[in-house]
Amino acid sequence: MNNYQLGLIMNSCISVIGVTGVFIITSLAGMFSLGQAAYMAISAYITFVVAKMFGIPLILTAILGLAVSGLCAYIIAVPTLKLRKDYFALITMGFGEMMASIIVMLDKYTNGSIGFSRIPKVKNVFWIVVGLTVFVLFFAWALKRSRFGRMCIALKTDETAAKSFGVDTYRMKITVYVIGSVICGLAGILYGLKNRVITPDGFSWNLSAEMQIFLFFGGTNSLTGSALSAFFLKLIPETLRTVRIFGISLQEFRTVSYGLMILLVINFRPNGILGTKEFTWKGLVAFFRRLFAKKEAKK
Amino acid sequence: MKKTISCLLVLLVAFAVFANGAQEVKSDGPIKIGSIQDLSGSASNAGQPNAWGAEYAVKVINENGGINGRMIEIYTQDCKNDVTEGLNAYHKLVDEINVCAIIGPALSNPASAWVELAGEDQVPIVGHFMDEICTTNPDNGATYEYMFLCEPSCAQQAEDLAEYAIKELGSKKFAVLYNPSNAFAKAQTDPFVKYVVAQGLEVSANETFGWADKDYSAQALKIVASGADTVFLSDYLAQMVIAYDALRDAGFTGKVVGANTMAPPFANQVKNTVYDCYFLQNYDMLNPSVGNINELVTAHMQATGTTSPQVNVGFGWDAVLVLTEAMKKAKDPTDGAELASLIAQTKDLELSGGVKITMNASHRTDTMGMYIATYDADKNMVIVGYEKVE
Amino acid sequence: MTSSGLSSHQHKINMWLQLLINGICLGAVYALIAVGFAIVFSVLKFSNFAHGGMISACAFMGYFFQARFKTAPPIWVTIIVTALCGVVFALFLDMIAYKSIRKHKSPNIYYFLASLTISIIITSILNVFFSKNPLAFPMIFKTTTFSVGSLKVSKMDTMILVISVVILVALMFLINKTKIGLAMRAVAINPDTSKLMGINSSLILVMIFSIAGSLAGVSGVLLGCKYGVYPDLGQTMMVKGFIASVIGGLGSLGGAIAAAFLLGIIEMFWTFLFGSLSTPVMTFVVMLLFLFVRPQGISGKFAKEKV
Repeated sequence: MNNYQLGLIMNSCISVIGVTGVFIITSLAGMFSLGQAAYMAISAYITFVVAKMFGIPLILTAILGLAVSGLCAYIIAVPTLKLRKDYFALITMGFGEMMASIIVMLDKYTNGSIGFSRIPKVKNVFWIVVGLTVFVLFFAWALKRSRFGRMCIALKTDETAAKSFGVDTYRMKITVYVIGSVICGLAGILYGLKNRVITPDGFSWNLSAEMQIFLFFGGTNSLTGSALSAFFLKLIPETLRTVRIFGISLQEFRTVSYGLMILLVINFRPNGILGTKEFTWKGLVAFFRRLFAKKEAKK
Repeated sequence: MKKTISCLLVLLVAFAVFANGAQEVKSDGPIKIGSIQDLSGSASNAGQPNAWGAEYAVKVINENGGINGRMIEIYTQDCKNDVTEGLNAYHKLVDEINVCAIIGPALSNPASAWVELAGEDQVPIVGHFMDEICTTNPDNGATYEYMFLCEPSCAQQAEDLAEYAIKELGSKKFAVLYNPSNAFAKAQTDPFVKYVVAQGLEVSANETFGWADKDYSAQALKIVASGADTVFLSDYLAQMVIAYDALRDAGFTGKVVGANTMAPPFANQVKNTVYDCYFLQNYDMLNPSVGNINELVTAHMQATGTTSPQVNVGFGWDAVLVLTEAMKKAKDPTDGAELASLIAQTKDLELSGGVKITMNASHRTDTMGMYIATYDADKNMVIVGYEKVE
Repeated sequence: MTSSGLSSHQHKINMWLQLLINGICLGAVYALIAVGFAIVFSVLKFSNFAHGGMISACAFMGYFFQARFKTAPPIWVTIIVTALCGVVFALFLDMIAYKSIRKHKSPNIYYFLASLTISIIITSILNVFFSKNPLAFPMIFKTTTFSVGSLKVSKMDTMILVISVVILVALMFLINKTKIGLAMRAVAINPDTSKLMGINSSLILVMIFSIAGSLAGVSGVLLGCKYGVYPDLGQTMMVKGFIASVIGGLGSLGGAIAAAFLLGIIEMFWTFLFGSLSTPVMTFVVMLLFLFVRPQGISGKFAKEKV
């Protein structure tokens, strides 16, 4: 595989990690966040700026970056989660806007809108990205199936009932939000490692929206569904670079085309591609069996 | 049924991405070059004419016999003024299409991600990414071997304008109003302020606005109160218009100087009377007697239905010209390393604007200055000067 | 402002007054946008992210409408026509994006998603097709400002202020004093019960979208007149409208209007005193503090969240 294909896989993997972070927040606790790109920015900027300023190895500053992401998420969550659900999306969105302007304000360290470039090259970035993607997916899967995860899902479906069983829903939501944000932070660090340039525009509101859209496309409650959709929806616009229809290059319409795809899904499969189902090998085998059984029956 | 279709779709996509491997380059076949421009996204009004200019230049060169008999094929990719998209486009061109050189975009953000890659892959990139970080490593001052800038850098441009304001307009006290969230504006404003201060003059107000701001009247009032006689504006056209109107509405009667985004249709969009505004221009676009820039912008307006002359058409043309001039001298016009060393030796090459370019050691040019333009009473753009700070 | 006759004290007061006036005018712009959100929120309980994109699209429609004439029609004709276009456009969006969500009775979160998608699609389509020629409405006034004492007031701002106030008052009247408004409020509180009471809730929804669409049309033309017509016009202002609607108490029209004016004034003073860069930080902190102190918003009433 050449660098182009490796790069695309890395982009998709980073998207999967980000969407997994969003998945944990939305699917486990039913919160709709539109500011997850801000956590990517926080982690990425802290990791690379601190490493450069003090000459500390990246692995240490990455941990610091993730920790700060988690802390910010905690600070945002504590007041916000006391409010009505509807406020959450808008406040997280405002938080994202604020982060972008803070990065521009601190241009002495972050180089502002011109972007923080010359991030040192790291060996085996590809394997680091793929490895962490697998790890994050496994973590999310384990979390979803753990006692904590099941409690979260119960809380999501019926908050009043969960409260009456003595579950502290408020604290649970905070924990979930912090975990999800740290995972998004990880995606931000990998984004920086891969691109070696980070700009405030790269972590804009659009990215937060995109991650949320990917999640719904695959199915809000399906980890495999959202991971697959994050992977492929990141990839599909890229394939349109060379596609031409009636002599018009679809290159400029990359964004439009995935938007239209999502509208189709909303209209015809309102619960996302996989809905609440998980994609498993067993399910796949069973699916093909059914498929062939149908064909034979037709014969 | 639906599931079968979706499965097939997924497979198809995977196939489309990974099936087309690298293509062989024949030694007598066409020469492939790439062009990465902002075809979509917020800077598409600059990127589309830029792409057109480069493609038009290639067409003209091919009609005149190509590079020593070999035709050029140009592959234009969209980078959306985004780092990730820019890297995708770069790798697509270098790893899949196997281009030997790339025409870069007019904005610096995507270009700053290629500076080292271009060296590793030995692919020269020629373009108008005017921020110095795209040609020089600010950490050690080393020149990026494969990055080439074909216009004065942003510091040079800002200095030219400041020099003109100080010398010709007699400005004594400056104020700046710009959008620090826009890399283009920031890269010009910082050196402008630096230069003015270095000349012993005062910058009495340093005001900013953001993407989401639409009303700059508070900033304008502050500038008026600071007593500045000249204001420097920098951002894209829409914001420049708002800024100019805000200043005049607030009672500012001094001079307004600014980036080249003040070119037409600026004068037709502002609501106040246009007077005393001076701005940078790369070319004397409306003058048919210098270079061929007037011919280019006219051809572009006719071909695409654009209503005002676009400076970026000249950018695309110039970058192709610099690249192909090196190709003509090269033994192997597809050898990136040879091309880069030849581009670095570019000397006295006349570009579309009629000015000659000579590459210096930092892969930028010291030989080009900037035109200063203004508007007359009928809102026509008039060139009033040509400034080059030594 | 170097009028030598005034004392420096007088001068300062003038400056503050000028800022206040500018702030109110800015607030009127925000109010128009915020109400567009709030009205959809009040009934459908979701923040219509597509509103920003709709404003941009309407600005283009308005521009192309008036550009068809040799001499531009009076501004009110353009506004009315664009408002009608906005209604049609909003209903079209409802048909392609929101209808199936209602049909499937999907959770509100899907509305969020659909509106996000629509907003992205509109902005990118406009960017690809219309970015090459930046457009501007022809001038309405020969001179841009008029003087009140030593203060300068922008004519355009005044026009926007007057039109916004008229529209907002008319809207408040419609909602609070008419039968249709009553029905809207009933659907806002409980769509199922209101159905039982004989209210045609789908008709009400159509009306809500029409109102939001016509508001987008009006704001599109007004914003286009003031700031020029370009693809990111509405999208970039969306955040301000959201913040105003949050501070005002989601879904409360009166609250949103009050908060929008407040936001405009605060922003104007803050920018003057501390610069624009920190303004987003300030508005975010104000929003958080406000919610913390008064979670029900300025107006203090909203339809209760369903359990």
